[in-house]
Amino acid sequence: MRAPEKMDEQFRLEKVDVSYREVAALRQVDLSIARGELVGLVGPSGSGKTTLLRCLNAMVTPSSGGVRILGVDAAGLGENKLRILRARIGFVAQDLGLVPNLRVVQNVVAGGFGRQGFFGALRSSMVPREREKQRVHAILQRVGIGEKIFARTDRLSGGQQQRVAVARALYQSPEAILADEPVSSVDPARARDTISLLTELAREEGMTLVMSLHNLELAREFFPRLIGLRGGRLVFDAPARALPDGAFDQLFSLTEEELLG
Amino acid sequence: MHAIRPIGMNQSRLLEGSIRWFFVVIAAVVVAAGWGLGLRFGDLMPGEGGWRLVREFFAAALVPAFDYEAASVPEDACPFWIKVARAALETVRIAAAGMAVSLLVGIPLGFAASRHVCGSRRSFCLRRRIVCIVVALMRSVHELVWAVVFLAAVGLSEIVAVIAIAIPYAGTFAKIFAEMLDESPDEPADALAAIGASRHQLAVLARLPGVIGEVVAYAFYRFECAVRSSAVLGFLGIPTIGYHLRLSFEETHFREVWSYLIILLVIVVLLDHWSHALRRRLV
Repeated sequence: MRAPEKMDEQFRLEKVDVSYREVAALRQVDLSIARGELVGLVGPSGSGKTTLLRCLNAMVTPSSGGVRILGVDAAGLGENKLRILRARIGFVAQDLGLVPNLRVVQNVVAGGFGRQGFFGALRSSMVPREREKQRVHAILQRVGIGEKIFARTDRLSGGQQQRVAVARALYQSPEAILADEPVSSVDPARARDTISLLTELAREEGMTLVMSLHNLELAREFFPRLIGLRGGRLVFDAPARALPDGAFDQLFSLTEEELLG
Repeated sequence: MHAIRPIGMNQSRLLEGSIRWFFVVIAAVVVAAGWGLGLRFGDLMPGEGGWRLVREFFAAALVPAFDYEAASVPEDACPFWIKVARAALETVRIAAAGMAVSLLVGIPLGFAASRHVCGSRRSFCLRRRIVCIVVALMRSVHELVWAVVFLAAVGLSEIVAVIAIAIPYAGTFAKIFAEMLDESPDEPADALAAIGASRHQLAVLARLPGVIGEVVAYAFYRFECAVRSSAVLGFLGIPTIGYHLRLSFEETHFREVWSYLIILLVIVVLLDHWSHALRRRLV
């Protein structure tokens, strides 16, 4: 008994349960995200934000429930089909996941690996073609670090490295970008810059953006739609403006049993 | 809830206890082994002639030979230092060839033996198990033994030395390389897996760069070992340093012996410098 699929729906979770060993990470999550939406994912640590994001690029298989990604049922996809699907979705990890001792250009072309074979990827990484370099340069300029294209990645500041991670996601020409607390490791001003950059890019390209973040003010400011998670359950899923002031307090306050437990 | 605690009384006593036990066990093993083998410390004392030999040998270290020690040398013999240089070159050449072959074989085997190249969902991977067994077989036989076997089969030839070195070295390199890949940082590989990179791409392009410095340093260390192995294979008749070392030693030309030993030392030191220079650029 599946709800009819909307034309512009990109992600759909239906009664998704995820558990690691015995511990439930997500419980009965229903969710639908349309193309071009900017969604902020908030909640205390351990509330299931990362797991939810990992469901959206099929890095986690639910123990029960259905996941549709870009119109494809993720259940039972083989490795190659999964690769093709994941290549269409950008990902910015919390730790950024850059290779520190490689050059910026090498980290950015890695965004194309999902569409390449082994030797194609090796060639792009070792001796990038002229058009690949030009494309990387154009993207880096867009995120404001065009001159760093041949710099070693670990020589860059934290904020610049975030831009490299964003550039890698853009290099995928993705239909959606998932970002897992990409700004938790830098100061608030840098965090603001990166979030504003990502949301701006998403708007310009008409890409969907789903980002988990700790900072509630930033979440409210930049994301029209907010999803609150706690203990693996959806607590709210509403337009940011419609959220009552108490919603966040409820999300983060400890219940009596948690305090005692 | 808990902040990190300094090691408390109990833990430090525990640590002390296990260190004490470690030495007790080692000492017990030494005594038991010595007794089992019938060793007597008295055997270590050289006789009258032995002492003279020892004195002569170490005295010669101060004045290594630059020319032949023998009273008469054939007319057509090349100068001594050229002979030493040739022996050194031969030693390095065989070591380099053996090392090159061992890398060509060991690198793919190392990838195949790594946990990360196997399907992540399967806990048991038959291909990896087979590779690990092959690798273990290769390195469980010493290069001297391989050399003896091949010498018997194909006769005296430098290719014998190269292959004899290459087999166990490929096995050892594959094992250590696989372990380095297994322990490499997960972050880049996780991030790239999430955007569709394949297992082979991840191993080579996300994991290898994270450990490349260690891999290069280890390869150089093994090259150093290969130089020593190549020298020792000379005892079997291949004209590396070991061959000349043995001849000089048998004729008690200790000053010549030291010339060969010193050139070996020079090679190892040079390799070490090269390794450091390369590593600085990569890491």
